[in-house]
Amino acid sequence: MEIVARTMMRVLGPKTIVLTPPSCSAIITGYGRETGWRVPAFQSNLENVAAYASGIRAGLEILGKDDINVVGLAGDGGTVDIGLQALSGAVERGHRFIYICYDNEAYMNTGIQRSGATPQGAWTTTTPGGKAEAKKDVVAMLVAQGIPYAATASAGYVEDLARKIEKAKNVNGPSYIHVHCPCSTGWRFPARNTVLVARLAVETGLWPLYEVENGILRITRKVKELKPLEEFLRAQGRFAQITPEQVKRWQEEVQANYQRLLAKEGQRWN
Amino acid sequence: MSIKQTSRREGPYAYKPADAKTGAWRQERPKVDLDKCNGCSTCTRYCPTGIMRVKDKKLCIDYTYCKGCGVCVTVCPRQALKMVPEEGPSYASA
Amino acid sequence: MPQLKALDGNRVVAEGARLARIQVAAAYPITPQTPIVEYISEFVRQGQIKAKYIAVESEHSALSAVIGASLVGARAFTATAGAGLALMHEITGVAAGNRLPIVMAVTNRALPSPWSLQVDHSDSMGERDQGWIQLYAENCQEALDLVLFGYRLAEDSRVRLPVMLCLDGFYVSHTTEVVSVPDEEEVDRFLPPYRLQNVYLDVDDPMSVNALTSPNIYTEIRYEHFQALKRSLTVMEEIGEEFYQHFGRRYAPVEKVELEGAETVFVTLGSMSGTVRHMVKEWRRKDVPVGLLKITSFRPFPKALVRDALKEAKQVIVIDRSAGLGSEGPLSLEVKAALYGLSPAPAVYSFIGGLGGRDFTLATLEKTLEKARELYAQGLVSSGSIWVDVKEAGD
Repeated sequence: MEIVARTMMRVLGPKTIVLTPPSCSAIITGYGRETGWRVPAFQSNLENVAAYASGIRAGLEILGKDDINVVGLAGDGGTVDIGLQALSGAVERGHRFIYICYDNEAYMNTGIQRSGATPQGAWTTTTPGGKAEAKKDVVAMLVAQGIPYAATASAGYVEDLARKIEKAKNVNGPSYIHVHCPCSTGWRFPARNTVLVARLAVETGLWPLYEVENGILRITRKVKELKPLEEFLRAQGRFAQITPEQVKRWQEEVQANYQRLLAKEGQRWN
Repeated sequence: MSIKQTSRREGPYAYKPADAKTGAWRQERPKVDLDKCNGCSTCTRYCPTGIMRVKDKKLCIDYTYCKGCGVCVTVCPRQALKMVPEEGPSYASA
Repeated sequence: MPQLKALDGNRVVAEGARLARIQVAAAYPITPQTPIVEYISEFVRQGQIKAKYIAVESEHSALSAVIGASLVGARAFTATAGAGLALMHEITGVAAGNRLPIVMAVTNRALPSPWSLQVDHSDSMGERDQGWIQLYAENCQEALDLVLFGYRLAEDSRVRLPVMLCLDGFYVSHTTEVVSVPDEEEVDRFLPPYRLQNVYLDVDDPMSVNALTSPNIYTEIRYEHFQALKRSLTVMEEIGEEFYQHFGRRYAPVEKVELEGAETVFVTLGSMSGTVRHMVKEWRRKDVPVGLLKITSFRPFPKALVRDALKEAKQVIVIDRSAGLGSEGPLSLEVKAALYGLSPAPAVYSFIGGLGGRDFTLATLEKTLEKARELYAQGLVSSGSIWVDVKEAGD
């Protein structure tokens, strides 16, 4: 998450107001009288980052302060579950703000409980036998709403992420970047492998890097030959319970999805 | 009856820059081979703690805050970094 | 020049917002507040208010958006009722705890369940400990005036607290009365433009607002809040005097009606005060020594003023328009606490009625006086809340 936060600030600069919900990113917003941001920041409730962003943008606009970025840095829990209403509403109303979801695929700050973004088969404290349900695709939901800019990104490819944040910065409306953000504690792997695990997700085709700009899809990192999904899964303890049959089935899904995505390149998403 | 004007801020706000010396957390530290390092800055962009800096095309590491996570080692395109056990005072700079 | 117009409660709230030159409004429609949001949308479209109107997707987001706007320097407004206020509850503490001068109109409506569209104070009573200033308007004139009064009070540097302006759903919100709409220039003289103070989000002076706190500082922050609420009573009186100088109408935390020589004093909130005011006049004509103490500021509760106003009375009849389940009517608890320790103390009889929109009639009012006298004659100086307008079985 810190990799994402630093990349974000590198691109957005000092004329930025940051919103963080109670979550991993809130640790930067601080404790007591101490804070880690050098820009104005505000801690929202878990579900209303996008609502605050709406009000802040409206306030800035009526005061004629148009050169300030408004960005939300929220986790998957506060976005795909409880945060969905506010996000969908803010996107529908078209406010100019950037929403970055760092997706560590569970409620990590409270101790690894499952979220709608937890992938199938993953261990969490509330899915001890592995999650049965599939991962929610919020990017697709927002694209269906007609968001001007939405993208996937990864903590393993920070330049791709930085380019996307730069694009988002210049959108005159809402933009959404969903960043795959491995958590060594929750996914059960040594911290040093964070970037490697993130890259494996992309290189196996599980987490394709793409952007949808005004409805048109563009894949931003094409993988010539997909690595076997097993490499990604076996790198993490949270998938220890997955059976070979599940891996096979999942592998097929991933490859099929990737092919479908490639076929849609350059065209309207839906 | 007059009320004393209060100009101090009231409410939950934070203004002190946090400055925990997180270097004390680490159990191993990254060591750079300056012959291999060409100052490409890749590690500076991946370091979660932002303690890598390139000066005169070579890497400088600020050990005051380095937590020893080891991500830098995995992203260096020239394998110029490796983790070594932490010995002696944790804050000594490279 | 002020103008006399026939307007209903919802309309006057919108007028108040217009005159107060609000800059951001975010609201979600809910009966009986919907005309407020409709009028504001129309005013914005016509350019009568230079503001951004955000048609948010829920009340929870409404207050969140308004807090955001206030934090960057915009004068912000919202309105809601009943279940909408309940949905906002997670955020009402955020507005108050961050000491933001937001004004919110609440067209009082019963909280479910059972579902009701009609007036009941259970919604605003549910917020009474959140740290807002809570003002109750008796009629349309008050509803208009208290919006202006509210912003002036909220933005005062000695206060810096959000104001909840309560007006009875339908009884005030949808009733047309003749009101004096203040002159815009006079309002500008009374209410200066909003300027950022205290905690805010400003790129030229960054700070992190609303971060986590430790047990080390939480209490002190809460204590400052507590003191601000206490201070606001005195500031209210000051501003009430200022308001009178500008507009000729006086507002204070309480209003005393015919307390001279009153043996029995009624204590009420909201539009019911109007009913009692009328009845007090009738009774006095028949030489019945009754009076009315109308509470305008329920939070902060003007303990000292109430104690002082009631100390000569023999009986106090408190009427709550909310059930106060599990204990007694919330207003009666406040009154009893205010009178505690007085010796001799008036007898306090607590009545609950008018729930879920039931009309609190003159006949019901007579019943409370009868009942209070009955109990007094029996030597009972207090009662748990008496549900005075409950229908008998078989009705």
